[in-house]
Amino acid sequence: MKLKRFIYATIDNRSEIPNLTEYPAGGINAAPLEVVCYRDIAAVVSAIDIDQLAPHLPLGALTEQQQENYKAYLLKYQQVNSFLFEKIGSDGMLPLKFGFTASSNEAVEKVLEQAYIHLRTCLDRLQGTMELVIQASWELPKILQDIVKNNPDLASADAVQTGKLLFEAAEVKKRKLIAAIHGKLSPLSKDYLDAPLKTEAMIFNRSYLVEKKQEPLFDDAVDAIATELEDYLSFRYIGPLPVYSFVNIELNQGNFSMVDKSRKLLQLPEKASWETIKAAYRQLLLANHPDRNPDDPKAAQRTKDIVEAYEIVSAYCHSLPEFRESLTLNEYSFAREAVEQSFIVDNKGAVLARAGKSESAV
Amino acid sequence: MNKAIGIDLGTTNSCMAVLVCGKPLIIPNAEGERTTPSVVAFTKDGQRLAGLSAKQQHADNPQGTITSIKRFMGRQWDEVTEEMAIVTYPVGKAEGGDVIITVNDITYAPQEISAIILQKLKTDAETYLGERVTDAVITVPAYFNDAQRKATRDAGRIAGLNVLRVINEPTAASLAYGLDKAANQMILVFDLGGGTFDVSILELDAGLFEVKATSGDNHLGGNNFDKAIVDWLLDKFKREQACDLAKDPLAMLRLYAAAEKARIELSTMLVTHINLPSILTTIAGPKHLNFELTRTQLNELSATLIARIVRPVMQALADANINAEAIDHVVLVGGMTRMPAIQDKVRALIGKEPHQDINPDEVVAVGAAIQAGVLRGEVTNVLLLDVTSLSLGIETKGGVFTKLIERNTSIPTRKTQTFTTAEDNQDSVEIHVLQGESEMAAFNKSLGTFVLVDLPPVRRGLLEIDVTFDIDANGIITVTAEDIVSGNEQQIRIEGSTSLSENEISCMIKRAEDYAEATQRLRELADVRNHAEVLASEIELSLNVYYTRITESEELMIREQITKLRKVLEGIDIGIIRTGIADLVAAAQVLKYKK
Repeated sequence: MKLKRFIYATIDNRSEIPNLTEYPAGGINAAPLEVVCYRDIAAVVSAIDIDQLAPHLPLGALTEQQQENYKAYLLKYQQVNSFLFEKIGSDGMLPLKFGFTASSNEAVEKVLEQAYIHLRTCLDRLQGTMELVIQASWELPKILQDIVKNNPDLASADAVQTGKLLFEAAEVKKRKLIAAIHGKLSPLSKDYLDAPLKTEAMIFNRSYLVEKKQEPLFDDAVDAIATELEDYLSFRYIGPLPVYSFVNIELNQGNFSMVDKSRKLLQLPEKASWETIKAAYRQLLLANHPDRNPDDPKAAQRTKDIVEAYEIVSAYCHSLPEFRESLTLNEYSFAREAVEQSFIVDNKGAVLARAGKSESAV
Repeated sequence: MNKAIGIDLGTTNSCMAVLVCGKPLIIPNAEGERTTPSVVAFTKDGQRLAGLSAKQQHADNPQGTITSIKRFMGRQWDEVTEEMAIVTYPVGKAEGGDVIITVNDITYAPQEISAIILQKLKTDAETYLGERVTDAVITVPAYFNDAQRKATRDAGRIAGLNVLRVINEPTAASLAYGLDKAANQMILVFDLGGGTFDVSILELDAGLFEVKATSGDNHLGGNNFDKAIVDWLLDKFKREQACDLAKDPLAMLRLYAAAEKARIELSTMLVTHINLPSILTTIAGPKHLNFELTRTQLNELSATLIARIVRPVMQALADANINAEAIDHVVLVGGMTRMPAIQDKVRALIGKEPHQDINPDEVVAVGAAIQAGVLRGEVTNVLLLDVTSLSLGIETKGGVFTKLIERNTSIPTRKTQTFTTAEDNQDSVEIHVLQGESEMAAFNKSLGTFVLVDLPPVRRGLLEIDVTFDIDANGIITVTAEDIVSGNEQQIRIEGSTSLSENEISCMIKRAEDYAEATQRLRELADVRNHAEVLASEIELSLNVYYTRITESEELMIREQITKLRKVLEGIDIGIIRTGIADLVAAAQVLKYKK
């Protein structure tokens, strides 16, 4: 048995922290909830046996017992977050992705320290917002009948052709319905994200990030759409929820062998400044890029390795608190101890998740 | 060695450049212009036109004049409903869902239409440079997906060009600016063209151009601004004259042309007049449109369009992990960036005065020519490290899109991820390769599918299948799936789902070559006819002077040959005309030597 700290959420320390004893059920396996503070943010945690969680394995690779645990833990994680959401409201809490653990309360504090800027920005960005989920399912037979009714020439085409045409018409109809729903809700929301469709009949499962003051308008809009499209679709409206879908921060513990291998590939010493790292990367690229070595078949592979190594080293450096304090002056240590204590924070695209996705494609 | 040129194949205009002694030079077309309208026309009498001549006859031949073909490149018919509404020619759907264009009962793929433009550019460049052009670097918007890039590459092949590389327009623009600069600097390229909007952020150091982030909007460009003006004109005309011009295609064409002109004029002037006499003929006589449009009004009309540039700029900054203050240079590309309101917005967003010392219509072609020089080893102080502008991945259980390569990853690159099976004893897996940013597979662009079969029968979740994505420096994607236990492996090279088969491409190359040959033959025919006509008149003239030197029968013989030649030169058989010339020359020999 290996005990770790499971992190449910980050909360804003500037507002009053709710009394967690008010939640007698506790966290996973009824372990008591605790609060770990760092500056003006805090984490809600409880003890967990990491062997039972195995968050690093894909769901399919877990034993049945582990899968059962996983489901129970996920439910508990959601319950704790709902409790916090209810107590603190949408202003001061940020659910973290399911599965964050750290070895001790000190380590949790370290996570907060290292991810402070990301968490603080995310808290501010999501302040006063909530997640509202709209799911819509259609009755395909009814839609098809409708299409046939409106297109009398369909009957005259041969069977295979009719099937193809019907399928295409249904796809067009689906896109139109999705666009109709999204067109009304998009202006009232700050962001949105799609979730997997759960059933065959489901055509729409989208989480919207909505400001608290927009909630009544959003409710009205959902009602209006549901009435307008009731002939075609049945709706489920879920929420308000903590903003699970819009927290895009991922934390990974530093992987020493990976960072070490990359550091050696870039021919760097055990301590190097950011300038040295960039210069080494550029020198290697200029020497190895296939555009400069058109007759060397191995140049492409070498370049791929260099680019990958640089990405890893760069992610490691970016994760260090001193990197953010001073961009260029510090030297970074690639010693085992330093790497294993680091957390690689990845919030790529956290601010805007889906640029370039054209609205018309929806 | 043949020349390599850089081509900016634009939505409305194209431009080409070449390196001469290491210095970039814009190549003027046969009409002497530095840019060529990206317009192709098929006239009713079977002629094929490209460039300015095609553009000029647009109003007389709306159905046979193909404009903005770039918007249809590599796209499926269902994706382009918006685009279809603003062109004057019919856009059809091919068997596999691709776009096709039918003129005079002949169908063309968009690649073929683009190839006609490229062919004109190639021929004009060859005439100007006096040598053959075989290699080219062609540019595309950074936000083009794999299918659109593949289609552009194919268009080049059809036109008889060896496409060295397809590169991103904003990246090309930065190459044009950065050539003499060695110091470390951050460049933001803002490219608003006729049909698309791109933003790229690059870091330049010691000749290495490293693209940090790209972002954009594939549906924003000058055309949208023109449409805003046209909508305003329609509305105003309707209110004042109670007539709807939208139903009259010819009137619409004139409105669009006038809107474009007004928009361009308002970049330098504060007010312009839109004057279209007899825009509509009614029972009560012709109606005229004569309105005044001010720059302020235009800015109001396009306020929502201008607002759309903010998000991609912020996205690019966020992806590059920098603030606006970190940008050292802002480069403007594309004709739309001449609009003062756009420039103001860029200044407000970045807080820097944008560079405009290179013509925004030409800067991309110049950069493409430089990249061509790099790839042929002629330019050695520059290296471009580009990125994939869209994420790549596969469809996993529940229709979820699992990314393997995130957008803005430097290329060449290779990424492997391990997957497993979802069911017990599953004997095959389907690998569906997609490109895009949506979490749902269905909303991304499908690039292809392949199946890994003969998997050993084991419990779900136990099998390990390594999926590897490989992108080479040319941006060509190869996906491999391997069952680690058995070593069983399947691979596809992504050819783009909306692409032409090798067979179709060969047919199109043949058609393009045939056309080039036919053009060549027509040119020869014209030369021979000209020669024959001149010869006939000359001999006729000397006969009138020197008839005394020859016998009557000889004179009759020559006159007979002249008549015969004049008759055959009406025909199209070059051989017969040549024989006629030879016969006449032979008959006329007597004139020369008989004293």
